Amino acid sequence: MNETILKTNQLMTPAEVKELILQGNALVLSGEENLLKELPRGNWIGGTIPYFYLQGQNGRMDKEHIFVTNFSDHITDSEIRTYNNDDISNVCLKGFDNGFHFIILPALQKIHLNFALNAPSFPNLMDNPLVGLIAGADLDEFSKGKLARVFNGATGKMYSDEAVVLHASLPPGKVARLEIINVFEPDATYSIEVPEDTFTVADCIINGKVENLHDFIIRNKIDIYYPLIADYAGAKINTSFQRLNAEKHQVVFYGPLFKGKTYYFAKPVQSYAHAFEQKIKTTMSNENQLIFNCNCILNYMYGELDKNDIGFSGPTTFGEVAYNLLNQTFTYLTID
Amino acid sequence: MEKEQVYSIPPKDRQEWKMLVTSKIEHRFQNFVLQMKSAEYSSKIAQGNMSVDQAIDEIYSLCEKYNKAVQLDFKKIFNNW
Repeated sequence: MNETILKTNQLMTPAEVKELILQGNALVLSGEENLLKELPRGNWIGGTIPYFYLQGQNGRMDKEHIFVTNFSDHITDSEIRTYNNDDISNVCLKGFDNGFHFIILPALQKIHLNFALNAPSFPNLMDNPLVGLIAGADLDEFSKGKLARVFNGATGKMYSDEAVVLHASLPPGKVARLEIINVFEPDATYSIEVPEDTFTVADCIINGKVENLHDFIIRNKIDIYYPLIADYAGAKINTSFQRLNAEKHQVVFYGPLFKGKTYYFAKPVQSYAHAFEQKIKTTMSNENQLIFNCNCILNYMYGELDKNDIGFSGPTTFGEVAYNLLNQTFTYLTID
Repeated sequence: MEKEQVYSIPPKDRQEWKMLVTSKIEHRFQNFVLQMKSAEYSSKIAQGNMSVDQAIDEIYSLCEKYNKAVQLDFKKIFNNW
């Protein structure tokens, strides 16, 4: 057996992670703030999250280990940068001719919302995959005001309203490809359109009539565990419900709804793990070099990934980046 | 040493490219980027914001890049080339 096989996409102790950093590996790390803060400077970026789904075992909340994705065996060079609200739109102008950009943004901060609304119009967006995740926190602590943090390992700095990016280059003849697996299917019974790009919806158009979305959901007992889905010519893009605001008769989402797109409620799924297994069978038969994957915290919670194994290991997210911001979507990067 | 397999793509003058970007062929690519972009092309062309030739250049270039991943799509769209 090859003892030098790359350890990647798994939970490791802080001591093991420190060793990988000191060896110069190019890493993406997910874990608790107090663990990431103690790591030495090096070629890594990180974001806070303590929930992980794990291959061969049930997922769990883990505040003692760090989830490591090690790109070192696949890339030829890398560069780490921090972006703020003013220059985040340049993210795809930097980096390398052939490679990918791995981005981590902090949840529900201005830069997250800016990215969600404006990423579709970023220059050179589709030249190379823009993949990544939205950092979060323990949900109890997050609801009490704890901030998500992102880390630029090269400088040792931690941020709560900036984005960190690892720009990576690939050898000639190799190409990075970003794909998604969405287990949810739209239910065409109700079509929903919004009058402007927005995270918060009151009045909207449902089946051609003006309706208050909040009241409609209550009246029709719509299960907001499931996302809204828009169909982008076959790419089904989810937007997750954050909460219903009864006082203001508004619905708040984790991502923006865009004017001009038609959204649908999702068909209920009996078991996320089972639906995922069915979907993954066909998708994965053609993939042989998957180097990163992540899945949404809502799929972890509603799909009970702490009691199920979906055959992959990865960090959960408060949103996934696949060029644009996605919700409730398994996202992966592969090398052809 | 492992030999890299080379995947070919259909010539740019095949009519199917034009039919793809104008949605005369309604094909759902397996690849995420191509799904997103193919929708964008037909919409931009319809609005007069992009020429058919520009759209063909772009989609051709993307398919060149992801030549391995699009082989099954090509079999359905072009049959042979």
